[in-house]
Amino acid sequence: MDDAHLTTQPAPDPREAAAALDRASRLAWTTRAQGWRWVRRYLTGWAVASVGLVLTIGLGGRAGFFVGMAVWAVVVAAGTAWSSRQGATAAGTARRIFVGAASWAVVYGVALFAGMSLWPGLVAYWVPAALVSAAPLLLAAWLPTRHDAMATA
Amino acid sequence: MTADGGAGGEIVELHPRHALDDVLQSAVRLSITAALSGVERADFRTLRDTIELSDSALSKQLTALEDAGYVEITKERAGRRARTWVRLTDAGAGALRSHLAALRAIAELSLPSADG
Repeated sequence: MDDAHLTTQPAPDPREAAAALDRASRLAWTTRAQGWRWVRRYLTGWAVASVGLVLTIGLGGRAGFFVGMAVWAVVVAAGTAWSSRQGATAAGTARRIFVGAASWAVVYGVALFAGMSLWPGLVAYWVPAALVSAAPLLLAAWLPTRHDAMATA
Repeated sequence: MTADGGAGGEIVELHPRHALDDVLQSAVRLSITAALSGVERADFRTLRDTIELSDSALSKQLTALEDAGYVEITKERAGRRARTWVRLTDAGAGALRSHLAALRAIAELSLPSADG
């Protein structure tokens, strides 16, 4: 019999094998959870900032626009710096952030355009509009991830 | 796991330990590949903290895994600091799957009962 495929390594006993499987599974889960945790925080923070931005622009008039944009620039810079320091990237992270950001840009643009044109300063419009602007980011952050075919699953 | 038994053509059932991957027999290397299987990529610091290894020990094991073609290591500059990223290759993911399947088979083994 060809023994080229036979290992010379000692075999773990069943208990050792079960322990190794358990540890492998826990490690895979830990890094995966770490990879998604910061994405959820990042998108949720962006959603909260979006509510503030839309309210400031919609209800603050001309001064609100400048204050809102200035604060927004600081928030974006801080968010970018913070996200670039994260050490684990879950599969699908870039796609999820892109979809959340692109959907937010559309909703934000429509909300601002309609509000500025038709209901400037109207609280009954701007509060719901601000909340709606956060929805795409919150959905991107919190919709369950598709269970990837992980080797340890 | 089975093997051709020879001229008679009989199939011999091999102990699942023969399907274990020699590179992943090291508990530390198995831990590294398992941790990487959960993500697209992870940086050196995250791996070090997750697996609880010293920098030098992790570096040594990563080199062994890279030599085996199981991980890909890249360096990125962020300002003045270089950052090391590690990714599991397709070959590494395949080896991990096979190794874990062998471990599962071993874990399910039981001794035959005394009364046969």
